This record gives sequence, structure tokens and C-alpha cells, in this order.
Amino acid sequence: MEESKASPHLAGKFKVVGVQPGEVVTRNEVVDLRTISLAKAEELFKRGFRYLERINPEVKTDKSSTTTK
Amino acid sequence: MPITPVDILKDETIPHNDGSLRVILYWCLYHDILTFPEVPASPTAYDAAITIEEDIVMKTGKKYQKREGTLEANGLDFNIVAERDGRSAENIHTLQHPGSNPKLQGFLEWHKNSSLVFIAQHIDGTMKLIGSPGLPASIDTGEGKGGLKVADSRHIKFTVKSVGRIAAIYKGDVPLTPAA
Repeated sequence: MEESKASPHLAGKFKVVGVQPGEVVTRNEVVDLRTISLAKAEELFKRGFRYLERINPEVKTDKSSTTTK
Repeated sequence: MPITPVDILKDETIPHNDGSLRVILYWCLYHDILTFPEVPASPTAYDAAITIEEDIVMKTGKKYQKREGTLEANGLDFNIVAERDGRSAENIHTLQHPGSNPKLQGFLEWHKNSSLVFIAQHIDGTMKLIGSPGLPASIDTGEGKGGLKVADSRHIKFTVKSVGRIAAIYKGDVPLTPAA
């Protein structure tokens, strides 16, 4: 079976975690992680939606800020 | 800390009080659940005593399934049962599906003895969990009606029963896509 893909609107901003991209019922609405808008993803993330993780490019590149104690 | 008794009054700010259930319901196999949250062991309020705030987490590759029923033919009731000093609860969830859908017949044939968990949704959106950790729900009754006259209803109707606790209000998410 072909693996489903996350919404293109999430690219570089969020990744889907814990489930394959698809439908999740959350607070009386069905969201589809294959087509979700970035604004909706932001809204869900802010309220603690467990299936979206923010991609933070600053964490990946900021090695210079490491300090030795 | 025990629950402190409080007043329980009608909320007349809410104008609706509909019976029945929404037509889309959810179910999964009990053993497909990886993490099954429970109501608090020491709740500090009455509503907390029957509310689950956390998400059910499914095992990898497993998910909840949707089932569609007939409007005003699906229901969820609970009863306090047993003798004084030994009271418990049972929940009866009724589902009716139009026609003689072979998938539903197969579901009943295959799962009539399975451990199951259902999520029913009241018209106001409140989700109720039928089945709890260690106390799965199961098919209790079932019937397929073909009808004698054309005006008769042709449908499959079955009930699901869970026991031990009043079905919890479920505030978590319901994944309809496989866990990864």
C-alpha cells in the first residue's frame, strides 16, 4: 500500500508524528493531515495536538551557541 | 483528597437537550490499543470522576474505524445495577444500520466474541467511551431484519455492552489513520 503524504502546506513548518498522515477526530471536527492548511496546523499545535511537531530550523543549525561549563 | 460535594443544577444557558447519537461512530479492537487512559483514581470533582482528558494511543499500524448508523436509531444508555452496597454500572450502546450490509454481517460474525471499544457521540458532540482498561465492551445482542412487507424496515441492529463503570466522557483525539 502506498504511504500517504503529509499536507504540502506543512512543508518546512510541521511534521506529522505518531500516525500516518490521514484523518483524526479532534474536538468535534475531523482534520485531514494530508490536506490540512498551515493556519489550521498552527491552531492545533497551539492547543497541544499530539500528531503535529513543529520543525525548528534554528535548532538544527545553531551549534555555535553551545557553551562548555 | 475526596470529592467535595457541590450543588448540581440545571444549566439553562444551554438551550438544547437532544436524545440519540450522531450518525458517525467509532470503534476499535481492545487489543489494538497501546495506551488506554483511565479516569482519575482520585478525582477532586464529580465531572472529573467520569472524564478522560488524555488521548488513547493505538499500536503501530492500528487505528479507529468509522461506522455510520441510522439517525435516531442509535443510542447510549447506562444503568446502575446490582444490590445495595455492591452497586456497579452497565452501558448499553445500540446501533442500527440500514439494509443487510455484508460488511456489517461479517463484522458481527467475526467479532461477536471479541473485546471491543466504541466511541459514541451525543448530538451535542460529547464523546462517550464504551469500554475501559481491563473492562472491554462486547457485542451483547444482534438481529438482522429483512421485513415482511415493503413498508417494513430492513436493517441490522445490534447492541454493545460494557460493565463496571459509567461510560467515560472522552476528550481525547480519535485517530482514523494508522499509528506510526
